[in-house]
Amino acid sequence: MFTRVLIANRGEIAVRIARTCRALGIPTAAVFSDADRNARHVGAADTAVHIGPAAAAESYLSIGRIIDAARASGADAVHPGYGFLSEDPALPAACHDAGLTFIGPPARVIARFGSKINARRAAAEAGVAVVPGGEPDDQSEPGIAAVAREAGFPLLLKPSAGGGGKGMVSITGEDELEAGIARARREALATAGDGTLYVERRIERPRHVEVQVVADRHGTVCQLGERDCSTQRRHQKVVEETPAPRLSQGLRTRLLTAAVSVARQAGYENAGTVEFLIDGTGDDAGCYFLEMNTRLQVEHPVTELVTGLDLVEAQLAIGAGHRLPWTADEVVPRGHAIECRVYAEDPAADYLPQAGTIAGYHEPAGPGIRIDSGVGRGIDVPVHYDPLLAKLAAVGRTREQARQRAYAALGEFAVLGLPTNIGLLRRVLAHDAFVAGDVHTGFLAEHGEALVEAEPDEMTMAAVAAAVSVAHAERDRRSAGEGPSAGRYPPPAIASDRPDAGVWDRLARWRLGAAGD
Amino acid sequence: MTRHRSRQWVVTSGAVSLPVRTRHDDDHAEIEIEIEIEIGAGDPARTVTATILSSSDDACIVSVGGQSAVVRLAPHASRCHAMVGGETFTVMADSGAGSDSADSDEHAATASGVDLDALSAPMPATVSAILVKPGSTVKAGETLIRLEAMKMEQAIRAPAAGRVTAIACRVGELVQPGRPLVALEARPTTAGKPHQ
Repeated sequence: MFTRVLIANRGEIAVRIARTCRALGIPTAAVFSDADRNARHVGAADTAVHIGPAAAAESYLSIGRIIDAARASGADAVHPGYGFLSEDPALPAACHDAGLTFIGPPARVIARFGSKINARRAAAEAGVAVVPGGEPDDQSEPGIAAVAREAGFPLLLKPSAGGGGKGMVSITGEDELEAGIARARREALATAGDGTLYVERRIERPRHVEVQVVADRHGTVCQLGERDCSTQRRHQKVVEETPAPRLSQGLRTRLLTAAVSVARQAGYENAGTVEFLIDGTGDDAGCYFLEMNTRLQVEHPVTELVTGLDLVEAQLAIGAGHRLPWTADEVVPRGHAIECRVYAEDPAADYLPQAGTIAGYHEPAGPGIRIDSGVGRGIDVPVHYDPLLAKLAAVGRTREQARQRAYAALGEFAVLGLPTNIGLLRRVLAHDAFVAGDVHTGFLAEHGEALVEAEPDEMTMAAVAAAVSVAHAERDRRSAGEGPSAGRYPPPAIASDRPDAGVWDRLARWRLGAAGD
Repeated sequence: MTRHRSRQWVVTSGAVSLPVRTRHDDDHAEIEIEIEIEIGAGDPARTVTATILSSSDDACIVSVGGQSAVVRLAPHASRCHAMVGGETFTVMADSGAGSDSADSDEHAATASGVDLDALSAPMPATVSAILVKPGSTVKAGETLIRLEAMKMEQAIRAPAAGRVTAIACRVGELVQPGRPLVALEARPTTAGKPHQ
């Protein structure tokens, strides 16, 4: 299919892409910045290329360096993952000029959906409803105010070029409008570098449901079901699942049909996600196009778990010009899957991102458990990038079985040395409203205090002190040159700073030294 | 000859800290280790007995009151991080209280309140903007410095009205937690207008 695929990303997604390539027998090249020399994704590929300093602008966001790395490693294809350059139309253009295959949609499609205003027009052309609001041609203060009044309060002002909820300003009434427009303009300039705004009605307690689509160059557009991503903090997803709970069959059909229409109308190619806001639950609930993500989505594993498909494999096949490796009839989703995003962040400090060294690490396993991780013991979590460390996904026959499996597995997931949201994720999964499938985007904010911190149990704290005391005594014995005590397993013969490290990890590193800069 | 080991710890989870004293035989020939635990600083302290069923470098199986749990461990600097059932704990030796010595400089640091003299970085971050100069007069809550970490911006604000006496960082610099960024001299708000 390809001689070598360069993975223009880092962290868990780079590891995940490398795994599929390895299974398919396609050699890979990783890229790494100064901050990522010992990162897990570097060892996951067959070779690795150093691409610059820690600052993303000079490494993972530098198209020149990515293209140079592809050439240096002998790659003939580039997979962008998500984030970084994945939605920058300049990367596919540069790949094209360099004679490389870009694993994703064509530049014109990315450019179209990269502008929120053009994306809304694309949806309207496909006959799909958009959130009430407008796209002011007149970007002056009175021009925006007029569109805002027409859409009705409460409303949101968003940067047209932004994403991920950044730079969004909420306005509840006429009296806040003038100051709100000025603030939204500043926010848009600061976060997106472009002051163009658009207006959107704010829907109370909405759900965020999205549809996975895959399209090849031969006219096949296939939907792979929906994902509910309503559990969010600060407009960033935390828990995702498929199928969406409490979604009527009529509403589901409307969503899936609308997603395929948008993709088909736009001449879409490769994997993409059409996001919707849902207002209500029944067949006649409001169902509005939000945006289309022209790349592999963070939460794609839940779709893979219930369909049995490998989306990266499909992306590679489509990129190589092949037909979709399956037909729509063959896609029969089975069971329910839930994914939890493990972030280096402190929920008690308003989800402040955390950086540091992972001093201890243990991944759970078990029936229906899938871990996509970019970290391990001894690995530094740098301040320069997104704080997503790993994703834990669970699949079960029913939603309840998937929920129980995810909850139990999170209890075995040890990421020590810096604060993470693992405790919070467990409390979300155990919350009555989540158990009932009563999810909406305000869930975390609404139940915040009960979810952010647990009241620690004294007996558990006592058990922890006991374990530490014995571990401490053991270290003292060792430093005094005494042998291990009777109940003690000897320390490992090969000290390692990696999870499950063995001779192969060492070889990967040795190769890295040979093939790197 | 049997040695006994008695140590005082502070176990922290979120906002809760609990003093705990552990006592066990240090020359244990038995596979299972019995540990006496006193919980809390109260009088009389609650006492329980734990049994260590097995231990390795990064995990212990501990049984307390008929319940056993895997405690994952990771010593890091002067503290030990631990995880049980998805909840994390930090354990520090309480110096001066046990029969063994232990470094607890970080413990002392966390006990101090807001330091008006020097405001420091709460986490590793890049300095994205410095909004004041030495000599600037600032109001309580005014943003002095902006930090950026992992695509998020965080403001270092003045905890009280005062005057900036020194700037100890540069724009673009990567700073570690605890690194002083800006020095402030507190000034009573009734002191009147700043002189030019």
